[in-house]
Order: sequence, then structure tokens, then C-alpha cells
Amino acid sequence: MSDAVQILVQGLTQGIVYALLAMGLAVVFRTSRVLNFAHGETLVVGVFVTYVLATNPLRPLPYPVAALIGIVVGVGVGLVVYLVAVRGSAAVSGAVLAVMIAALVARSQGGWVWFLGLGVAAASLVLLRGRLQEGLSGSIRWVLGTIAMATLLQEGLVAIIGSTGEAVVVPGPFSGLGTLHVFGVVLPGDQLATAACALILVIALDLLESRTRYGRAMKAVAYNPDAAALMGIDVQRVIYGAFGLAAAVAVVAGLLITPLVSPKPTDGPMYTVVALVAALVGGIDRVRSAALGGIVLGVTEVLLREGLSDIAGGRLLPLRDAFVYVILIVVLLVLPRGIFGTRKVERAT
Amino acid sequence: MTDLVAGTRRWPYGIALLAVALVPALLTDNPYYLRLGIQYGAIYAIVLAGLNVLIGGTGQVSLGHVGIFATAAYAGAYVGAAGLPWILTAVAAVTAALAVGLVIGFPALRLRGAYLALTTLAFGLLAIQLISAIPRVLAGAGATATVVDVPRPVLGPIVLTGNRGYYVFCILLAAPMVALARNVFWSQSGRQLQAVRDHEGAASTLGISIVPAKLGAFLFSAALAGLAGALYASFDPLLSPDNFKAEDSITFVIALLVGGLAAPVAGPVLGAAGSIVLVYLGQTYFRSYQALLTALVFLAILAFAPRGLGGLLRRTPLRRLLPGVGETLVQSAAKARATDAPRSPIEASDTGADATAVVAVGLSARENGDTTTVAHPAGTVLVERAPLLEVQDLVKSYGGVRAIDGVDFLVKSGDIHVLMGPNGSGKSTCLDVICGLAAADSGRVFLCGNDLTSMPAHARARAGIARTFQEIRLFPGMTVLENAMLGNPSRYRAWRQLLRTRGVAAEEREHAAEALALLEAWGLGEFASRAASDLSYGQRKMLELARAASRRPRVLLVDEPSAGLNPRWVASMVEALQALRAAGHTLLVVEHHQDVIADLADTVTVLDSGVVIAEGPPAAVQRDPRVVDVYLGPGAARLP
Repeated sequence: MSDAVQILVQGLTQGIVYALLAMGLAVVFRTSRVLNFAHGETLVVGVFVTYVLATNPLRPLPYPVAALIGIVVGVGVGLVVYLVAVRGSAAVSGAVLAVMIAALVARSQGGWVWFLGLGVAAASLVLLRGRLQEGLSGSIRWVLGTIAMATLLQEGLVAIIGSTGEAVVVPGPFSGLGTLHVFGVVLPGDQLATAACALILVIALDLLESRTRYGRAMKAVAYNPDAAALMGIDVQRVIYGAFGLAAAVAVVAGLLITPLVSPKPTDGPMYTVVALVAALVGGIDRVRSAALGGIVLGVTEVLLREGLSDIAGGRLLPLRDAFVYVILIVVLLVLPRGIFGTRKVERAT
Repeated sequence: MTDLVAGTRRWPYGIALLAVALVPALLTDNPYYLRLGIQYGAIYAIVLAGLNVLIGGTGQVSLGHVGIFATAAYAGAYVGAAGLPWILTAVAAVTAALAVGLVIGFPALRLRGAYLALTTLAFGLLAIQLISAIPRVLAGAGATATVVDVPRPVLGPIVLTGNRGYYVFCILLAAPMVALARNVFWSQSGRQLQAVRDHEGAASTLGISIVPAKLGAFLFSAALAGLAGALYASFDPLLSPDNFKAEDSITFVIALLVGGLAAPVAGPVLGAAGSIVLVYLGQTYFRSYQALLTALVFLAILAFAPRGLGGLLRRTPLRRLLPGVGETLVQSAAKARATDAPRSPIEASDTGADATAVVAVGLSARENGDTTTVAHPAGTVLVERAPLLEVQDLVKSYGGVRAIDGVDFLVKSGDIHVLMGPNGSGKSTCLDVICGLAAADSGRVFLCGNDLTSMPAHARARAGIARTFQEIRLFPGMTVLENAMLGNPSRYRAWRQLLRTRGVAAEEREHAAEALALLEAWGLGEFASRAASDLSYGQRKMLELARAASRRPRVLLVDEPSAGLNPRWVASMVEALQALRAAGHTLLVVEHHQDVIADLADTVTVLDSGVVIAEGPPAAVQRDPRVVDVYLGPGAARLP
């Protein structure tokens, strides 16, 4: 009995991690109908900024200060992702490119001729821009744009921190808490506290969505930006707000789950995929349905792991990771609005 | 006219390109360079050629092609390792790729945009997971999916063990694949794919069947990824699941963007060349920052050159030195015509006033049997005044609202039949249900006595229904000429268009010439080579009508022809519609404008709240008290 409960607790713990990952995606999608493929990287960047600030041997900052700076940096990253990948802002894209070229030059081993070429190419692109044909239209632009930003962020982080894949072992906010034993079930205190924070975050975001002017504005902007603008809504500000808020939520989520999962600099894509699966399974148009999707996914995954190790002597265990993708495919095709969702998905007419 | 359309001969460019691609094999024996050339040159070119048709053609973004590539490589490797000849390796790989392509492609038909991208991404990840997991499931935890030393192809006495020979082999295989993909873009099939990309509904009213178009493009790209997989399987001495990463799907798309999306030759060729340069630079100078370099190029292309290197080359003087590079025969024909054509009065003053004369001349020429200037001289139209289109008791609800609620009417052959009624009375819904874009809840639609009710839109279009839309549905990504040519389906099946046989090429020229004549008859000749989105509103409406009429439909549905036009354009539009009737067309027109109705209509059917409230000649209908009630309010008819 307590074994089964223990498994369920494991599943819920896993589910809470997924729920935390999924929330930010829902905030962005609800407002802009964009699936942010750079979500995981935003989280990882925020977490590593906090980690470096809190644990560097020279001048370690107190954890809350470091976390706050990490969140602010994350929000900045979220806004840059929006400006570059979704808005297609030439100025911000150019600035990001310039920083990246400078970073590459600083880190390269020779090959100056090529840098000259790179610089000339970049400059001529910028000069030619006005005369180029129309760009890519529709979702292909932001799908590829957010993926490009994700790669840039990940590789940028690897370039700075190193690709050794060193996991963060920074103490989380609740590492001091002991464990709770209830009827033979072990409940680690930090996991309980994380769950409580996740719950508070879901409730707060849900209230923001349903009870505030800003929440209604988000929905209006998603439904019809032009009509929303005519109703006096500052559409750009609402979208900036959504990307910023989503990035902040992502970093907070990252800080909460750090003690449970120990992120590595290269873990961004994994978080993005898991967050996408969780949010789409639950329903990506609301924070609470996305979060519920995370719980469903986590419990399913743990049950599946236990189930697969019981049948056929565990030989099916290698298939475990594949199931996440099967679940995503099935949900997208059968229940495109998610289990708890309401909004129609963009489907062929 | 035909010689004008023939344009420049382009095969020397192809030969030159192939020669350039083969030069490295003469210059170097360095296995590293040759490896780059095989893996990122030839193999990438094949994958990109297929992806270009899929993404550039139909606009379906697949982020899962590495799954197809990897599955194919493994299928080929297992067959090759069993000691079978290389050709069977290739067959196994392509078969496996097609099977995976079907598994991904069929469900993908239901989704598009980001959801399609995400689904394909999941499929790609799944395929890679399964490749490494299945051997462990079948043979226990210790098993690996590594296959070593898959044999290289044997050509008679030559075994291609060295990288030099294999490089030549791969390039010689890649060249025809790139040519095949280019043929797609140069054919009616390719234009149809792009029509599906731009607007599925409008494409189906042109008789294009959406499912085969999308699935065909998916399978084509899968087959090419499969062939590339076969080449990869016998290239790498050690094939392991680690060779394939989910990111590779994205790398394929990046490479294609670098080359130029939807650029028929530049896309795959420059994409592959760009990949070689990027990988070489990355491995030589940037070591661990190779992925950063790729991401940087990706972002730069997205932000500053969304048409890729191909788009940039179009802007360089190279174009003047190499005539015809970077455009299809059809496009160069249009350009040649546009520079020759006398300046049309429409351009001088975009009022449409003088266009009337042009349109009327073009169409009456057709009426008088002087058929050289019109698109379809053979277009015989029914002349008996029999019921041509009949709708019976049509019902269609949207949500709880009955948009049309039991509508009956007959359209007689050779008539202009006008559907009028206030906003929301169900006029456009009628057209949607007749052309099959919306399914009726109940009721029937007959054309020449044949029941169309159960047919999808593209089948109805082929049966003889054409339509225009209130909100004009041209395909903005194509030129005016290409839009016009979409009205004229090819006689040849898709595979012959893919091979671009002599007949197909001749038909292309013929159809281009006909479409040019059509455009000239409609006063749009000099805009032939412009993007459809460059035309003015009135010109776009005319082009859409010309395109629909050029299909020689039995009945032409015209939705709000005068909406949004200024009075002079309205006059041209009325004359154009009258000229179409004079040429023997039957039209069902949705219209608001009373003067237009009075000028055009032979018969008027008035709808209100989804029900027919009056029918008859326009003068009688306009006096009908129920009609006056609806338009002017109850009791207005009794006012003095």
C-alpha cells in the first residue's frame, strides 16, 4: 500500500516539475499564439546566472539577491527572444549578432581572414536588407526564430560556462527542510515546499488571467490584435508583458526544480520539449490546464516506468523515453485542444 | 509566340554546376575534405532537394526528417550488412523512408504550422529513440544498434572503397535528384503545391486535391531522405544511433534557408555548399563553438536575408551575365513578354476605365470565333437554355445559426443569375455549399443533372464549377502569370511532370503562352512577371475572375464582384461579366449593388435569413413588396 502511495508521490513530484516548466509556455501562447521553443533555454540561463552569482568563490551574493538578478536576466532574455524571433526587429537582431560575432572572435583559434569575411557578409546583409524580397510569413518565421534563439542561448551559455556539462548543485531555496514521514510514506520537505510554491504560482497566474484587466487583455490580444487595439489595449505592451512574465515564471520554475533535477547548460532543449508536451497534453491556452497537463504527464511517466519494469522482466524499459513522444503525437492528433483545454488548434481547413 | 516563351536554354548551367561539384575529386585526395563533400555536400543536397519541395513548395515545416533519414540508413545498413548488393540497400532504405513518411505524413495532413512542426519533431525524436531502444528490447540490455562496415556500392569491377570514388558516385546521384526537385517547381504540379501552401480552400476550387498534393510532397521528400540515408549507411564505417540527433532535422532546415527556401536549384545546392563551409569553419577554427556559429548564421539569414543565398544572388550582377538563372521558364517568358508588351492603359491611370475596352475586345474576339488571343479556343460552352445548376432544399447551420434554411433555385445555361439579399442572408454560404468548401447539412446540388452533393470541392471544380471570392484569393507567393496558369490543369500525371518529359515541357510553354494571351485579353499582360500581391485591388479582382473563367467552367460563381471597387472599376467589372456571358458562360453572381444587378441580371433570387423570398427578372423583383420590406423596412412599399 505505502509502496503504491510512494510511487504516486514520486509521480506527483515529477508532475510538479513538469507543471512548473509548462506554465510559462501557456502564458506566452495565451497572448501571442506563439510556441516558444526557447523556453527551456530562458530557464537554464536564469538558473545559471543565479548559480554563478550565488556560488562564485570571489564574491558570492546572498541567494535571494542572486535569484532576483537571475529572474531579471531571464526577463531580458525573454524580451530579446520576442523581439528577434517574433517581431523580427532588425536593430535587436543586429545587436545580438554583433555580440555573438564578438564572442566568437574572442573564443576562436585563428582564422582572421574568415572573420573579416564574416564581418563583411554581416555588414552587406544589413546594407542590403531594404532591397531584399519579403521574408518568411506565418508560423514558420517564429518557429524557426525561437529555435534559432534557443540554439544561440544554449551555445552562448556553453561558450561561457563550458561544455563540460557540469550540473548545478546549488542549494535550492528549501534545501534546509527535513523529511516528513506520514504512514510510512516519505515526503521530503523541500519537495513539499516546491509543490506548495507551484500551487501558489498556478493560482496566482490563474487569478491574473481570469480576474484582472491584464488577463482579459491577453485573451483579447490573442483573439484579434487589431480589435484589441481599437478597444484601447496597448497590444505591444501586453505581448511584452506576456513574454517577460513567462520568462520570469520560467526562471522561478527553474530555481524551484534545481535541487530536484540539477540542470546542465545543455538541458534547455529537453526542458522545452517536456514543457511543450506537458502544456499541449493539458491544454496550452490556460496556465492551469497546462499545469494539470504536467501533473498528468509526470504521474503517467512514473507509472509507466514502474509498469514497464514489472512486465517482461524489464526488457521494455528502454522504450520508456519514447512514450513521451507517443503521448504528444496522440494528443496533438486526437485531442488538439489538450485534455483540459478549450481553444481550437490551428488545423487544416 | 512559342519561341518567345521558350526562353534561354539552361542545361549548360546544369552541366557546369555538376562539373564544379566534381572538381574537388580531381584536386584532392584528402579524406577529410572528401568526407565533408560526401556528408554535407552530396547527402545534404539530396535531403535538401526533398525538403525544399516540402517546405518551400507546400509550406509544411518538418522538423523530423532526421527520423526518416536515420530509419532509412538503418534499413539500408541491415540489408547491406547481410551481404546483399548495394542497390537492394538503396531500395530498402527508400522503402523504409516511404513507410515512415506515410506514418508521419498522414496524421500531419490534419495539422499545420507550428503544430505540424511539433508533431514531426516528436516523430523524429521517437524514431531516434526507437532505433536505439528496439535492439535492447529484442536482444537484452547489453545489445547495441551499432552496425559496422556496410559494404560500398560496386559498379562492375569498381568497388568504391575510397572516398574519392564514393564522392563522385554520390555527386552523380545527387545531381539528378536536385534536377527532379527543380522539375517540381517548374511544373503545374509545383504551382499547385504552392497554391495549397498559400490557400487550401482556393486551391481546391481550382480542382486541386489537397491530400494527394500534401502527401505527395511529403513522400517525395521522404524518398529523397531515404536515398540520402542509403548513401550515409554505406559511407560511415560505424553506424550508431548516436550519429543522429534531433537537432539534425533543424540543421537541415537551416541549411535550406541558407541556400534559399523555394529556390529550385539554389536552395539545395547553395544550402549544401554553405553547410560544407560552415562545418569546415566550425571544425577548423571554432571547435566547440561550431553550433554557435550555425545558430548565428541561422539568425542572420532569418533576420536579414530570409530568401537565403539564392535570394542574395538574384540581386547581384551575376544575373545579367547568366541570363535566365534563378527563374523558371515560365517566369522568363513572362518577363520577356512584359518588356515587349505595349504599355497598357491600366498602368497609366489605375482607374480601370480603359481596361474595359481591353477586356471587351479580348472576349468579344473570342465570341466572334477569332480565337487566337484567348486562352481556351476549344472551350465550347453549353448553349441550350436548360437548367444547368440546380440546388434543392439546401440547409447549412453554423453553430446554432441556420445560415441557409431550405434554399431552392435553378440557374439556366447562359444566364447571369444574381443572388441578392441583405448582409447575413446566406448568399456567400450558398456559394460555399455549391462549390463544396462547406458541407451542406442537408439538400442537394446538381450540375447538368449530376448529383454533386457528396463530392469534395476539388471534384466539383473538376466537374465544372469555378468561383471567385469576396476577399480575393490569389496566391501571393506566385507571379501573375503563374496564378493565371493555375486555371489550366496539366494533361500529364505528376510523375511525368517530375521527369519533365518532352511533352511536359512543350505543354508548359503552350500553357504559358495561353495564359499570357489570357492576361493580355484582360489588360494584365504587362504585369505577367510581377508578384500577384503587387497588383491593385481592381486588377486582383480581374485576375481572379480571369483565372476562374479560364477553367472553362460550366458555371462560374462570382462572389461580390463590385465590392470595394470605385465606380470606374465597377463599370469595367460589369462589362467583363457581360462579355463572359456573351462568350457563352453561365454565371451565378452574389451582388448587393442595385445598379449592377439591373445591368447584369437575367434572373434574380433574393435571400433573407437563409430563405428565398423572391425570384424573377430584376425589374419585377425590385418591386416585390417582400424585397422592399427587407431592404427598406416593413411598410416601405406602401409609402407614396
